[in-house]
Amino acid sequence: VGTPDRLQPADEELMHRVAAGDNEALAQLHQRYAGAVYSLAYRMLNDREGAEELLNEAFVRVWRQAASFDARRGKFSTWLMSVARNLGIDALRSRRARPQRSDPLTPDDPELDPVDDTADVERDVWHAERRRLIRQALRELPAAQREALELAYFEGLTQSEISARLGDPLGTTKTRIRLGLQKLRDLLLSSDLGAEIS
Amino acid sequence: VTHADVRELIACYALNALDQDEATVVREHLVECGFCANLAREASEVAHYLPYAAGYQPPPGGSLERLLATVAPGARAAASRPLPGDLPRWAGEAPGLLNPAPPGTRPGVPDAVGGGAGQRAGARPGQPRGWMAGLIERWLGSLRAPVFAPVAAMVLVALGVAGWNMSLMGELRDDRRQMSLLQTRLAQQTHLLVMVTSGSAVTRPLQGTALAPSAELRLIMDGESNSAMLMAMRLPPLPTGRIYQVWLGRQGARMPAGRLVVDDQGDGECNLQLDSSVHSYDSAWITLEPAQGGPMPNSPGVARGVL
Repeated sequence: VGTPDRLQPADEELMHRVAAGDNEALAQLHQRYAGAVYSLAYRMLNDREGAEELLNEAFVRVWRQAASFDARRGKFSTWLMSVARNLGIDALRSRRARPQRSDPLTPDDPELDPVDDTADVERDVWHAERRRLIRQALRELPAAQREALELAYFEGLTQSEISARLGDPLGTTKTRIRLGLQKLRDLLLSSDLGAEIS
Repeated sequence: VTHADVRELIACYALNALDQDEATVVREHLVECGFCANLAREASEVAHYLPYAAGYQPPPGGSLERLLATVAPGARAAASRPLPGDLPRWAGEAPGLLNPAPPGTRPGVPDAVGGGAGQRAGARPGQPRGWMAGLIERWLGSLRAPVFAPVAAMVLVALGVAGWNMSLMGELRDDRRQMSLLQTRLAQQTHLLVMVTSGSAVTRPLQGTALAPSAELRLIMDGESNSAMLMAMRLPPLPTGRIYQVWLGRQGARMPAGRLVVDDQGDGECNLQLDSSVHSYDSAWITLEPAQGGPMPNSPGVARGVL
Protein backbone atom coordinates (compact mmCIF):
# COMPACT_ATOMS: atom_id res chain seq x y z
CA VAL A 1 0.00 0.00 0.00
CA GLY A 2 2.88 2.33 0.69
CA THR A 3 2.77 5.35 2.90
CA PRO A 4 1.93 8.99 2.34
CA ASP A 5 4.50 11.43 1.08
CA ARG A 6 7.44 11.53 3.45
CA LEU A 7 8.23 15.08 2.39
CA GLN A 8 5.16 16.17 4.30
CA PRO A 9 5.68 16.71 8.03
CA ALA A 10 4.94 13.55 9.99
CA ASP A 11 1.82 13.45 12.13
CA GLU A 12 3.91 13.27 15.25
CA GLU A 13 5.86 16.38 14.24
CA LEU A 14 2.60 18.21 13.65
CA MET A 15 1.38 17.11 17.08
CA HIS A 16 4.54 18.56 18.58
CA ARG A 17 3.72 21.86 16.91
CA VAL A 18 0.09 21.66 18.01
CA ALA A 19 1.30 21.25 21.58
CA ALA A 20 3.17 24.54 21.13
CA GLY A 21 -0.05 26.27 20.10
CA ASP A 22 0.36 26.14 16.33
CA ASN A 23 -3.12 26.03 14.86
CA GLU A 24 -1.77 25.73 11.31
CA ALA A 25 -0.42 22.32 12.34
CA LEU A 26 -3.83 21.49 13.75
CA ALA A 27 -5.37 22.47 10.41
CA GLN A 28 -2.97 20.14 8.59
CA LEU A 29 -3.90 17.21 10.81
CA HIS A 30 -7.54 18.04 10.27
CA GLN A 31 -7.06 18.02 6.52
CA ARG A 32 -5.39 14.64 6.75
CA TYR A 33 -7.84 12.90 9.00
CA ALA A 34 -11.17 14.73 8.99
CA GLY A 35 -12.50 12.37 6.31
CA ALA A 36 -11.54 9.25 8.24
CA VAL A 37 -12.90 10.58 11.54
CA TYR A 38 -16.13 11.84 10.00
CA SER A 39 -16.65 8.55 8.13
CA LEU A 40 -16.20 6.59 11.36
CA ALA A 41 -18.50 8.96 13.25
CA TYR A 42 -21.16 8.76 10.57
CA ARG A 43 -20.91 4.97 10.46
CA MET A 44 -21.38 4.81 14.22
CA LEU A 45 -24.05 7.45 14.70
CA ASN A 46 -25.83 7.34 11.34
CA ASP A 47 -26.56 11.01 11.81
CA ARG A 48 -24.80 13.89 10.07
CA GLU A 49 -25.26 16.44 12.83
CA GLY A 50 -23.96 14.07 15.48
CA ALA A 51 -21.07 13.02 13.27
CA GLU A 52 -20.10 16.65 12.66
CA GLU A 53 -20.24 17.32 16.38
CA LEU A 54 -18.04 14.31 17.05
CA LEU A 55 -15.57 15.37 14.37
CA ASN A 56 -15.18 18.77 15.98
CA GLU A 57 -14.87 17.35 19.49
CA ALA A 58 -12.24 14.81 18.42
CA PHE A 59 -10.02 17.56 17.03
CA VAL A 60 -10.65 19.82 20.00
CA ARG A 61 -9.20 16.98 22.07
CA VAL A 62 -6.24 16.79 19.72
CA TRP A 63 -5.69 20.47 20.46
CA ARG A 64 -6.11 20.17 24.19
CA GLN A 65 -4.28 16.89 24.73
CA ALA A 66 -1.44 17.34 22.25
CA ALA A 67 1.05 17.97 25.02
CA SER A 68 0.28 14.62 26.64
CA PHE A 69 0.43 12.66 23.38
CA ASP A 70 3.37 10.27 23.44
CA ALA A 71 4.42 8.99 20.02
CA ARG A 72 6.36 6.14 21.64
CA ARG A 73 3.08 4.62 22.79
CA GLY A 74 1.51 4.50 19.35
CA LYS A 75 0.80 6.25 16.11
CA PHE A 76 -1.15 9.48 16.04
CA SER A 77 -3.74 8.02 13.64
CA THR A 78 -4.41 5.13 16.03
CA TRP A 79 -4.76 7.48 18.95
CA LEU A 80 -7.05 9.83 17.06
CA MET A 81 -9.33 7.06 15.84
CA SER A 82 -9.53 5.70 19.39
CA VAL A 83 -10.52 9.13 20.64
CA ALA A 84 -13.18 9.35 17.92
CA ARG A 85 -14.49 5.87 18.58
CA ASN A 86 -14.70 6.44 22.32
CA LEU A 87 -16.66 9.62 21.69
CA GLY A 88 -18.91 7.63 19.37
CA ILE A 89 -19.46 4.93 21.98
CA ASP A 90 -20.28 7.56 24.59
CA ALA A 91 -22.82 9.12 22.24
CA LEU A 92 -24.38 5.76 21.39
CA ARG A 93 -24.60 4.68 25.01
CA SER A 94 -26.13 8.00 25.93
CA ARG A 95 -28.70 7.54 23.18
CA ARG A 96 -29.45 4.01 24.32
CA ALA A 97 -30.09 5.32 27.81
CA ARG A 98 -32.83 7.50 26.36
CA PRO A 99 -36.13 6.09 25.04
CA GLN A 100 -35.57 4.34 21.74
CA ARG A 101 -37.08 5.53 18.50
CA SER A 102 -39.67 3.18 17.10
CA ASP A 103 -38.42 3.60 13.56
CA PRO A 104 -35.03 2.35 12.47
CA LEU A 105 -32.35 4.98 12.22
CA THR A 106 -31.92 6.33 8.75
CA PRO A 107 -29.51 8.97 7.57
CA ASP A 108 -30.67 12.52 8.10
CA ASP A 109 -31.58 14.69 5.20
CA PRO A 110 -28.46 15.27 3.21
CA GLU A 111 -26.72 18.56 3.45
CA LEU A 112 -26.72 20.73 0.41
CA ASP A 113 -23.06 21.49 0.44
CA PRO A 114 -20.91 18.45 0.92
CA VAL A 115 -17.35 19.66 0.93
CA ASP A 116 -14.25 17.62 1.46
CA ASP A 117 -11.52 19.59 3.17
CA THR A 118 -8.87 16.98 2.60
CA ALA A 119 -6.44 17.96 -0.07
CA ASP A 120 -3.45 15.68 0.29
CA VAL A 121 -3.92 13.64 -2.86
CA GLU A 122 -1.39 10.96 -2.11
CA ARG A 123 -2.73 10.50 1.38
CA ASP A 124 -6.31 10.37 0.11
CA VAL A 125 -5.43 7.63 -2.33
CA TRP A 126 -3.57 5.81 0.43
CA HIS A 127 -6.61 6.02 2.73
CA ALA A 128 -8.89 4.87 -0.09
CA GLU A 129 -6.71 1.87 -0.84
CA ARG A 130 -6.46 0.96 2.82
CA ARG A 131 -10.24 1.25 3.10
CA ARG A 132 -10.70 -1.02 0.11
CA LEU A 133 -8.37 -3.69 1.50
CA ILE A 134 -10.01 -3.70 4.91
CA ARG A 135 -13.52 -3.86 3.51
CA GLN A 136 -12.46 -6.67 1.24
CA ALA A 137 -10.98 -8.59 4.18
CA LEU A 138 -14.14 -8.08 6.20
CA ARG A 139 -16.23 -9.40 3.33
CA GLU A 140 -14.25 -12.60 3.41
CA LEU A 141 -15.20 -13.31 7.01
CA PRO A 142 -18.16 -15.58 7.73
CA ALA A 143 -21.23 -13.35 8.00
CA ALA A 144 -21.85 -14.15 11.67
CA GLN A 145 -18.28 -13.24 12.64
CA ARG A 146 -18.41 -10.03 10.60
CA GLU A 147 -21.71 -9.02 12.15
CA ALA A 148 -20.42 -9.61 15.68
CA LEU A 149 -17.29 -7.56 14.99
CA GLU A 150 -19.26 -4.71 13.45
CA LEU A 151 -21.72 -4.60 16.34
CA ALA A 152 -18.82 -4.45 18.78
CA TYR A 153 -16.78 -1.88 16.91
CA PHE A 154 -19.26 0.42 15.24
CA GLU A 155 -22.20 0.17 17.61
CA GLY A 156 -20.14 -0.03 20.77
CA LEU A 157 -22.02 -3.04 22.10
CA THR A 158 -20.49 -5.28 24.74
CA GLN A 159 -20.31 -9.01 24.15
CA SER A 160 -23.35 -9.50 26.41
CA GLU A 161 -25.33 -6.92 24.46
CA ILE A 162 -24.34 -8.51 21.16
CA SER A 163 -25.38 -11.88 22.47
CA ALA A 164 -28.77 -10.48 23.49
CA ARG A 165 -29.19 -8.58 20.22
CA LEU A 166 -28.49 -11.64 18.09
CA GLY A 167 -30.15 -14.14 20.39
CA ASP A 168 -27.00 -16.25 20.59
CA PRO A 169 -25.43 -17.82 23.68
CA LEU A 170 -22.72 -15.63 25.19
CA GLY A 171 -20.08 -18.28 24.53
CA THR A 172 -20.95 -18.32 20.84
CA THR A 173 -20.60 -14.55 20.64
CA LYS A 174 -17.20 -14.61 22.38
CA THR A 175 -15.96 -17.29 20.00
CA ARG A 176 -17.23 -15.46 16.94
CA ILE A 177 -15.49 -12.27 17.94
CA ARG A 178 -12.25 -14.06 18.76
CA LEU A 179 -12.23 -16.09 15.55
CA GLY A 180 -13.36 -13.11 13.48
CA LEU A 181 -10.58 -10.89 14.74
CA GLN A 182 -8.00 -13.66 14.30
CA LYS A 183 -9.13 -14.34 10.74
CA LEU A 184 -9.18 -10.65 9.96
CA ARG A 185 -5.59 -10.40 11.15
CA ASP A 186 -4.59 -13.33 8.93
CA LEU A 187 -6.32 -11.76 5.92
CA LEU A 188 -4.69 -8.38 6.49
CA LEU A 189 -1.30 -10.00 6.99
CA SER A 190 -1.61 -11.67 3.62
CA SER A 191 -2.77 -8.45 1.95
CA ASP A 192 -0.75 -5.40 0.96
CA LEU A 193 -1.22 -4.17 4.50
CA GLY A 194 0.80 -7.10 5.83
CA ALA A 195 4.02 -5.13 5.91
CA GLU A 196 2.46 -2.64 8.32
CA ILE A 197 1.39 -5.35 10.76
CA SER A 198 4.15 -6.93 12.73
CA VAL B 1 -10.04 -16.96 36.27
CA THR B 2 -8.02 -19.31 34.14
CA HIS B 3 -5.58 -18.49 31.41
CA ALA B 4 -8.02 -19.98 28.86
CA ASP B 5 -10.86 -17.77 30.15
CA VAL B 6 -8.80 -14.66 29.58
CA ARG B 7 -7.71 -15.75 26.13
CA GLU B 8 -11.37 -16.06 25.18
CA LEU B 9 -11.94 -12.47 26.29
CA ILE B 10 -8.93 -10.82 24.70
CA ALA B 11 -10.58 -10.07 21.35
CA CYS B 12 -13.52 -8.38 23.10
CA TYR B 13 -11.05 -6.52 25.31
CA ALA B 14 -9.28 -5.18 22.22
CA LEU B 15 -12.63 -4.02 20.85
CA ASN B 16 -13.61 -2.43 24.16
CA ALA B 17 -16.59 -4.78 24.20
CA LEU B 18 -16.29 -6.09 27.74
CA ASP B 19 -18.23 -5.04 30.78
CA GLN B 20 -16.24 -3.10 33.35
CA ASP B 21 -15.60 -6.07 35.65
CA GLU B 22 -14.43 -8.34 32.85
CA ALA B 23 -12.18 -5.65 31.45
CA THR B 24 -10.56 -5.23 34.87
CA VAL B 25 -9.92 -8.97 35.12
CA VAL B 26 -8.26 -9.03 31.71
CA ARG B 27 -6.22 -5.91 32.39
CA GLU B 28 -4.83 -7.35 35.61
CA HIS B 29 -4.01 -10.62 33.91
CA LEU B 30 -2.15 -8.87 31.09
CA VAL B 31 0.17 -7.20 33.57
CA GLU B 32 1.35 -10.62 34.74
CA CYS B 33 1.15 -12.68 31.56
CA GLY B 34 3.46 -11.78 28.70
CA PHE B 35 1.92 -14.37 26.40
CA CYS B 36 -1.59 -12.96 26.73
CA ALA B 37 -0.25 -9.40 26.58
CA ASN B 38 1.21 -10.24 23.21
CA LEU B 39 -2.11 -11.68 22.05
CA ALA B 40 -3.84 -8.50 23.22
CA ARG B 41 -1.34 -6.36 21.32
CA GLU B 42 -1.97 -8.34 18.14
CA ALA B 43 -5.74 -8.09 18.58
CA SER B 44 -5.51 -4.35 19.17
CA GLU B 45 -3.44 -3.91 16.05
CA VAL B 46 -6.19 -5.44 13.96
CA ALA B 47 -8.90 -3.49 15.77
CA HIS B 48 -7.08 -0.28 14.84
CA TYR B 49 -7.80 -0.97 11.18
CA LEU B 50 -11.54 -1.29 11.67
CA PRO B 51 -12.33 2.46 11.48
CA TYR B 52 -11.22 2.34 7.87
CA ALA B 53 -13.95 -0.19 7.11
CA ALA B 54 -16.50 2.61 7.41
CA GLY B 55 -17.71 3.81 4.01
CA TYR B 56 -16.11 7.09 3.06
CA GLN B 57 -18.12 10.18 3.90
CA PRO B 58 -16.63 13.56 2.99
CA PRO B 59 -16.50 15.82 6.04
CA PRO B 60 -18.97 18.70 5.92
CA GLY B 61 -17.81 22.01 4.48
CA GLY B 62 -16.69 24.49 7.10
CA SER B 63 -15.62 21.86 9.62
CA LEU B 64 -12.06 23.19 9.71
CA GLU B 65 -13.24 26.76 10.18
CA ARG B 66 -15.51 25.61 12.99
CA LEU B 67 -12.63 23.81 14.69
CA LEU B 68 -10.32 26.80 14.42
CA ALA B 69 -13.02 29.04 15.81
CA THR B 70 -13.51 26.63 18.72
CA VAL B 71 -9.85 26.59 19.66
CA ALA B 72 -9.15 30.24 18.83
CA PRO B 73 -8.96 31.66 22.39
CA GLY B 74 -6.62 28.83 23.41
CA ALA B 75 -4.58 29.37 20.28
CA ARG B 76 -3.91 32.98 21.20
CA ALA B 77 -3.13 32.09 24.79
CA ALA B 78 -0.76 29.31 23.79
CA ALA B 79 1.00 31.40 21.18
CA SER B 80 2.61 33.73 23.67
CA ARG B 81 5.95 33.06 21.99
CA PRO B 82 5.67 34.14 18.35
CA LEU B 83 6.41 31.34 15.93
CA PRO B 84 8.55 31.89 12.85
CA GLY B 85 6.47 33.46 10.14
CA ASP B 86 3.93 34.90 12.55
CA LEU B 87 2.62 38.27 11.56
CA PRO B 88 3.05 41.01 14.11
CA ARG B 89 0.02 41.57 16.23
CA TRP B 90 -2.02 44.51 15.22
CA ALA B 91 -2.20 47.45 17.53
CA GLY B 92 -5.87 46.97 18.32
CA GLU B 93 -4.96 43.92 20.41
CA ALA B 94 -2.82 45.95 22.75
CA PRO B 95 -4.94 47.20 25.62
CA GLY B 96 -4.99 50.87 26.37
CA LEU B 97 -3.94 52.18 22.97
CA LEU B 98 -7.40 52.76 21.68
CA ASN B 99 -10.27 53.62 23.90
CA PRO B 100 -13.36 54.06 21.80
CA ALA B 101 -16.02 56.32 23.12
CA PRO B 102 -18.92 54.71 24.95
CA PRO B 103 -21.84 53.70 22.76
CA GLY B 104 -23.94 56.61 21.66
CA THR B 105 -21.23 59.23 22.11
CA ARG B 106 -18.59 60.59 19.81
CA PRO B 107 -15.33 62.12 20.87
CA GLY B 108 -14.94 65.80 20.22
CA VAL B 109 -13.22 66.90 17.04
CA PRO B 110 -10.59 69.62 17.20
CA ASP B 111 -11.53 72.49 14.99
CA ALA B 112 -7.99 73.41 14.18
CA VAL B 113 -4.65 71.70 14.32
CA GLY B 114 -3.08 74.81 15.75
CA GLY B 115 -5.29 74.86 18.79
CA GLY B 116 -2.38 74.38 21.18
CA ALA B 117 -1.57 71.59 23.61
CA GLY B 118 -4.61 70.05 25.13
CA GLN B 119 -6.86 72.49 23.39
CA ARG B 120 -9.97 70.76 22.22
CA ALA B 121 -13.11 71.96 20.64
CA GLY B 122 -16.47 70.28 20.98
CA ALA B 123 -18.11 68.46 18.12
CA ARG B 124 -19.73 70.65 15.60
CA PRO B 125 -23.48 70.22 15.41
CA GLY B 126 -24.59 68.86 12.07
CA GLN B 127 -21.10 67.62 11.18
CA PRO B 128 -20.86 64.06 12.40
CA ARG B 129 -17.31 62.77 12.10
CA GLY B 130 -15.87 59.32 12.67
CA TRP B 131 -14.34 58.98 16.12
CA MET B 132 -11.22 57.54 14.55
CA ALA B 133 -10.83 60.65 12.38
CA GLY B 134 -11.36 62.73 15.49
CA LEU B 135 -8.66 60.90 17.36
CA ILE B 136 -6.21 61.26 14.52
CA GLU B 137 -6.86 64.95 14.21
CA ARG B 138 -6.51 65.40 17.95
CA TRP B 139 -3.23 63.51 17.95
CA LEU B 140 -2.03 65.54 15.01
CA GLY B 141 -2.75 68.61 17.07
CA SER B 142 -0.87 67.22 20.03
CA LEU B 143 2.21 66.64 17.88
CA ARG B 144 2.98 70.30 18.37
CA ALA B 145 3.28 69.86 22.09
CA PRO B 146 6.85 68.83 22.97
CA VAL B 147 5.72 66.58 25.85
CA PHE B 148 3.11 64.64 23.90
CA ALA B 149 4.75 64.63 20.51
CA PRO B 150 6.70 61.36 20.96
CA VAL B 151 3.64 59.59 22.38
CA ALA B 152 1.41 60.87 19.61
CA ALA B 153 3.95 59.85 17.01
CA MET B 154 4.13 56.34 18.45
CA VAL B 155 0.36 56.10 18.44
CA LEU B 156 0.27 57.17 14.81
CA VAL B 157 2.87 54.56 13.93
CA ALA B 158 0.85 51.96 15.82
CA LEU B 159 -2.28 52.99 13.94
CA GLY B 160 -0.43 52.69 10.67
CA VAL B 161 0.78 49.21 11.57
CA ALA B 162 -2.72 48.28 12.64
CA GLY B 163 -4.15 49.40 9.33
CA TRP B 164 -1.47 47.56 7.42
CA ASN B 165 -2.08 44.41 9.44
CA MET B 166 -5.81 44.59 8.93
CA SER B 167 -5.25 44.84 5.22
CA LEU B 168 -2.88 41.85 5.30
CA MET B 169 -5.35 39.85 7.37
CA GLY B 170 -8.05 40.58 4.82
CA GLU B 171 -5.80 39.38 2.01
CA LEU B 172 -4.91 36.27 3.98
CA ARG B 173 -8.56 35.49 4.55
CA ASP B 174 -9.25 35.84 0.83
CA ASP B 175 -6.28 33.65 -0.06
CA ARG B 176 -7.31 31.07 2.47
CA ARG B 177 -10.84 30.99 1.13
CA GLN B 178 -9.54 30.60 -2.41
CA MET B 179 -7.16 27.86 -1.29
CA SER B 180 -9.99 26.08 0.50
CA LEU B 181 -12.08 26.10 -2.69
CA LEU B 182 -9.18 24.73 -4.72
CA GLN B 183 -8.47 22.07 -2.10
CA THR B 184 -12.11 21.05 -2.14
CA ARG B 185 -12.05 20.64 -5.90
CA LEU B 186 -8.83 18.71 -5.79
CA ALA B 187 -10.17 16.40 -3.13
CA GLN B 188 -13.37 15.84 -5.10
CA GLN B 189 -11.36 15.01 -8.21
CA THR B 190 -9.14 12.64 -6.25
CA HIS B 191 -12.18 10.90 -4.87
CA LEU B 192 -13.57 10.72 -8.38
CA LEU B 193 -10.34 9.18 -9.64
CA VAL B 194 -10.36 6.59 -6.87
CA MET B 195 -13.97 5.69 -7.67
CA VAL B 196 -13.48 5.44 -11.40
CA THR B 197 -10.49 3.15 -10.96
CA SER B 198 -12.07 0.97 -8.28
CA GLY B 199 -13.34 -1.59 -10.80
CA SER B 200 -16.77 -1.75 -9.17
CA ALA B 201 -17.95 1.66 -10.40
CA VAL B 202 -20.49 2.18 -13.15
CA THR B 203 -21.05 5.39 -15.07
CA ARG B 204 -24.32 6.81 -16.37
CA PRO B 205 -24.63 9.89 -18.60
CA LEU B 206 -27.11 12.67 -17.84
CA GLN B 207 -28.57 14.62 -20.73
CA GLY B 208 -28.61 18.42 -20.73
CA THR B 209 -32.07 19.86 -21.40
CA ALA B 210 -32.87 22.85 -23.63
CA LEU B 211 -31.58 25.06 -20.77
CA ALA B 212 -28.13 23.47 -20.99
CA PRO B 213 -27.80 21.90 -24.44
CA SER B 214 -24.00 21.72 -24.45
CA ALA B 215 -23.60 20.38 -20.93
CA GLU B 216 -21.95 17.02 -20.41
CA LEU B 217 -22.62 15.18 -17.18
CA ARG B 218 -21.67 11.78 -15.81
CA LEU B 219 -22.90 10.08 -12.66
CA ILE B 220 -20.40 7.59 -11.25
CA MET B 221 -21.80 5.04 -8.82
CA ASP B 222 -19.75 2.62 -6.75
CA GLY B 223 -21.66 -0.19 -5.06
CA GLU B 224 -18.64 -1.34 -3.06
CA SER B 225 -18.24 1.88 -1.14
CA ASN B 226 -21.91 2.83 -1.65
CA SER B 227 -21.00 6.23 -2.91
CA ALA B 228 -21.76 8.32 -5.97
CA MET B 229 -20.27 11.38 -7.61
CA LEU B 230 -21.47 13.71 -10.30
CA MET B 231 -19.07 15.22 -12.80
CA ALA B 232 -20.29 18.14 -14.91
CA MET B 233 -18.84 20.13 -17.78
CA ARG B 234 -20.08 23.21 -19.60
CA LEU B 235 -23.14 23.97 -17.51
CA PRO B 236 -24.42 27.53 -18.06
CA PRO B 237 -23.16 30.21 -15.63
CA LEU B 238 -25.27 30.42 -12.49
CA PRO B 239 -27.48 33.48 -12.02
CA THR B 240 -26.81 35.34 -8.77
CA GLY B 241 -28.47 33.73 -5.78
CA ARG B 242 -29.10 30.42 -7.50
CA ILE B 243 -27.48 27.00 -7.19
CA TYR B 244 -27.46 23.76 -9.09
CA GLN B 245 -29.13 21.11 -7.01
CA VAL B 246 -28.86 17.39 -7.68
CA TRP B 247 -31.81 15.06 -7.09
CA LEU B 248 -31.98 11.29 -7.09
CA GLY B 249 -35.22 9.49 -7.89
CA ARG B 250 -36.59 6.18 -6.73
CA GLN B 251 -40.00 4.86 -7.77
CA GLY B 252 -41.38 8.32 -8.46
CA ALA B 253 -39.98 9.96 -5.32
CA ARG B 254 -37.20 12.56 -5.55
CA MET B 255 -34.59 13.15 -2.90
CA PRO B 256 -32.11 16.06 -2.68
CA ALA B 257 -28.65 14.58 -3.11
CA GLY B 258 -26.33 17.56 -2.98
CA ARG B 259 -25.33 20.89 -4.41
CA LEU B 260 -23.17 21.10 -7.49
CA VAL B 261 -20.68 23.96 -7.46
CA VAL B 262 -19.30 24.90 -10.88
CA ASP B 263 -16.47 27.19 -11.90
CA ASP B 264 -16.48 29.93 -14.54
CA GLN B 265 -16.37 27.32 -17.27
CA GLY B 266 -19.42 25.53 -15.86
CA ASP B 267 -17.28 22.58 -14.72
CA GLY B 268 -17.58 20.95 -11.33
CA GLU B 269 -17.91 17.76 -9.31
CA CYS B 270 -19.74 16.78 -6.15
CA ASN B 271 -20.20 13.82 -3.85
CA LEU B 272 -23.81 12.78 -3.66
CA GLN B 273 -25.55 12.13 -0.39
CA LEU B 274 -27.37 8.80 -0.43
CA ASP B 275 -30.12 7.62 1.87
CA SER B 276 -29.84 3.98 0.82
CA SER B 277 -28.04 1.69 -1.59
CA VAL B 278 -26.59 3.54 -4.55
CA HIS B 279 -28.16 1.04 -6.89
CA SER B 280 -31.65 1.63 -5.51
CA TYR B 281 -32.06 4.87 -7.47
CA ASP B 282 -33.56 4.85 -10.94
CA SER B 283 -33.13 8.46 -12.10
CA ALA B 284 -31.25 11.72 -11.52
CA TRP B 285 -31.96 15.42 -12.20
CA ILE B 286 -30.23 18.71 -11.85
CA THR B 287 -32.31 21.81 -11.31
CA LEU B 288 -31.68 25.49 -10.75
CA GLU B 289 -32.79 26.41 -7.23
CA PRO B 290 -32.63 29.35 -4.82
CA ALA B 291 -29.39 29.48 -2.84
CA GLN B 292 -30.91 27.88 0.24
CA GLY B 293 -32.05 24.84 -1.76
CA GLY B 294 -35.25 23.08 -0.88
CA PRO B 295 -36.87 19.73 -0.20
CA MET B 296 -38.53 19.59 -3.62
CA PRO B 297 -37.46 20.87 -7.02
CA ASN B 298 -39.18 24.10 -8.06
CA SER B 299 -37.67 24.81 -11.42
CA PRO B 300 -37.23 23.11 -14.76
CA GLY B 301 -34.30 20.74 -14.89
CA VAL B 302 -31.07 21.56 -16.67
CA ALA B 303 -30.14 17.88 -16.99
CA ARG B 304 -31.64 14.49 -16.35
CA GLY B 305 -30.91 10.84 -16.86
CA VAL B 306 -32.06 7.29 -16.23
CA LEU B 307 -29.76 5.23 -14.01
